[in-house]
Amino acid sequence: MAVSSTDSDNGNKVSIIIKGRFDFNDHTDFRESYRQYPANAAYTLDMKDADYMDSSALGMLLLLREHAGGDNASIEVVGCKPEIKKILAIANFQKLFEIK
Amino acid sequence: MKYIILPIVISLVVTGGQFYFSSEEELPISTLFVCVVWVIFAKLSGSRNYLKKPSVNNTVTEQDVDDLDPGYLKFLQQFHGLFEKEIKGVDSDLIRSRTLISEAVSELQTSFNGLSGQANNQLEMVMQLISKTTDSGGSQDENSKIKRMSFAEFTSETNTLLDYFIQQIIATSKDSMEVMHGIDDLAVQMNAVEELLDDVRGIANKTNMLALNAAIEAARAGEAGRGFAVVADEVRNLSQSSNDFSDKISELMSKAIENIQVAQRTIEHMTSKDMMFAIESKQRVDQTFSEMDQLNDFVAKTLSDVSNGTEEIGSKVNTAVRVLQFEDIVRQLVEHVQSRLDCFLNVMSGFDDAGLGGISNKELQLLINKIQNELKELSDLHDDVNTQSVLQKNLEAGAVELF
Repeated sequence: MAVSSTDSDNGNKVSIIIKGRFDFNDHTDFRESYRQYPANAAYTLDMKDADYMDSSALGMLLLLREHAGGDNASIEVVGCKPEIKKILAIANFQKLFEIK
Repeated sequence: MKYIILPIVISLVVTGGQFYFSSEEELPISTLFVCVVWVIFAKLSGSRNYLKKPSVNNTVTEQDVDDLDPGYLKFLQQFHGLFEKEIKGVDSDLIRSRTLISEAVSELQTSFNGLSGQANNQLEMVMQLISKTTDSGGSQDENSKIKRMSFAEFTSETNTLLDYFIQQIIATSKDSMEVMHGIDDLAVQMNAVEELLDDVRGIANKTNMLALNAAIEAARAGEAGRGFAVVADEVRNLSQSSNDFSDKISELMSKAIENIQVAQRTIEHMTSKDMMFAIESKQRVDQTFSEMDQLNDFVAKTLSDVSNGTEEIGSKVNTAVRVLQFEDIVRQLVEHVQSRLDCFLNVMSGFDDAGLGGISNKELQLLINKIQNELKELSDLHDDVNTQSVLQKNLEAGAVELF
């Protein structure tokens, strides 16, 4: 499974783990990974095993942000490889997410 | 000396001869002879007195001039003629030099000023070129009245456009993914509808079974159950119809699911864009922008160098033009030399007036006064130009030698 999630602190801390290519085919799994958790939860996206992401993945991240409260969302993106970082940078996502 | 030795020798011979011959009668005759010899030699010796060297301070006597040797006079006349010719030659050479220097300096000044002007023009042209190629504020084309875009603006515009494009793609992706989620939900709901249809089919089948049982029971009741058998038959037909509807709905649902799958593929195609193109484009634009910046810096530095060079040329030209004012000094010096030569000529003409001989004492005195005046004027001229001490010395030496 390319996308999986775990939670702690009674579902207030959610960790979503993405592996391999992050693209359109993951849209159902990705949605399911956060859908059950509340908007005010603290989300962490673990990208250390992700190799690639396309524009639909960027769109999915924006939908996660919307789910997590839009401008009030707390989302960390961690373990990005250089290629992933470039894609996030060109999309200006450093303004929307906390990229580490 | 011979004019003294000869009379003494003759006197001694005559006196000696007188004692030798000791003739009392001959004594007056021999004494008279000795006296005549002395007078003749005194006369001869007197005519040679002009040979002693005259000087400026010596008073020249009429006797001296009267006694000038014709050969010496001729020599003086030749010397005077030669000297006058030389002085006039030098004078004309000086005038020619002055004219040549003046013309050359004038042309040099024109050249230098032209050089300076040309350097300024060049700088101006470079400035114009630079301002046309790198004007960051953009400029108005007077002919077309269209605002032209500078390269920096173009790069910035391209970047903005690229960013806008990327944001549009992401926004489209986000909206598409939202639609996808809706379609996912729709698919789930359609599955639920399918399940409900199965329930409807179950109910219809049960109803069918009930109607069948009712028909059997009606047939057993005989004549009394005939009416009930009709109702049971109708119920059976209804359950059949219900199953037909369920099948039709199910058929439509599977067509809808096919359509949904088509829509999903379209959305996938629409939303899945490789972002590498944007990254590469942006990198190229950024690189171009950075190169343009470097080029601008280089151009600015070169322009500054060119400007400094032009200023340097201007400064050097100014120095050259200033140095060329030596022409004025040379002119004054030449004029000074000419004045001196004039004095010489005047002195020489004094000799002309005197005719170099045969003048009276008074005329000679006037001539000496005139020459002394000219010498004084020459001396005054020396005082005017202290820097020309060498020349001055030469002149003084010449003066002593001449007079």
